[in-house]
Amino acid sequence: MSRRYAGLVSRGVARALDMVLLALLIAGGSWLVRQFFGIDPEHCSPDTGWWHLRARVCRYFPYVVPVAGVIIPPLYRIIFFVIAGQTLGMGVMGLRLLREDGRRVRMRQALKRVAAFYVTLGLGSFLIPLTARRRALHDIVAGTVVVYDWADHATDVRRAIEQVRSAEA
Amino acid sequence: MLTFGPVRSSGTGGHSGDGPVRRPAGLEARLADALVTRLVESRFSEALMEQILAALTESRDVERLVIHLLRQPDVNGTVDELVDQQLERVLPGLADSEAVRELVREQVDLYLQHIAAHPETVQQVVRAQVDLYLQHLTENPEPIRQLIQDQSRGMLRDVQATVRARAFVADDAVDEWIGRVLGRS
Repeated sequence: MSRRYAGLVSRGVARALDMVLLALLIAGGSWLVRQFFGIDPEHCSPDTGWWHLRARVCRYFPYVVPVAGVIIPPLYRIIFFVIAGQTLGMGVMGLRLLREDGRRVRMRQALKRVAAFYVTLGLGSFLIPLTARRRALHDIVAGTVVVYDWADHATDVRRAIEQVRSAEA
Repeated sequence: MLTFGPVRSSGTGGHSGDGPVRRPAGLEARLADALVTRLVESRFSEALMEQILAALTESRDVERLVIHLLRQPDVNGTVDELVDQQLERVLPGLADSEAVRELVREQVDLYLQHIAAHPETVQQVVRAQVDLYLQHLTENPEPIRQLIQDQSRGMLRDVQATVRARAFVADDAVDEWIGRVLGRS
């Protein structure tokens, strides 16, 4: 089956969706923790409760959110790449990450890809429109490609593409 | 009860008494015709026919016989066919008939006037129907729930397909633009 490689815009939208989702997840999680423990990080009161848990959470809370913001996104990507071959944003956009030979991504490729992305600060994405198979720098490093995978929506999407093209023409 | 013997229309003659009596050809037929004509034209016959028809109309047996006949598949089919034929013949004329249109218009106007004069009647009917529907929906919410879910899913699917399609077209556009900038074909 011939596959079409996904371009910069589709992948950019998928990444943006993932970022929104992760931001909501981290912000929502932080709000839930504060509600659960009833803490205000700016006014931590000494606590004599069980193992001073509340006081400890309050004291370290300002560091927890930024650390979560750094750790959770790469973890999220690695886990989703290995388990599903796509993140949730990629799922919405109908994209799938595969190895160069079309097989499923393993932990090794996922780790390499995520590491390369963060090391290059994501700037390697600008190679996508320049390379033959629309590969970013982190794809080249990890030996992966991103393809369109619309699955059972393929007919709807093709019809929508025709509509968009005819509207533009 | 009156009984009529067979009336021969041919002039071959009949049997009377011990042997055949030769009569002029067509005499019996002419006599029979004359008798029947007189009978039909007489007041007595009119009254008699009326009585017979009244008796037939009121008769349970006749009613049962008609119902029985109408239930016969071939009779029923024939009646249906006849009615269909008549309807096919009449309906096109009715559809184009200005008189029918006028009649409908008049009736509609009458109904509308009545409704305008007695809005409470309509309100009652509507309320009763709405109550009925609401009760039905309360008792059977599953179809509506399913309908809403299907609708939402369908809308989501459309939006998703549109977003994907636009991104797909934009991917190609970006590639083309970069190609032009770099002077590639």
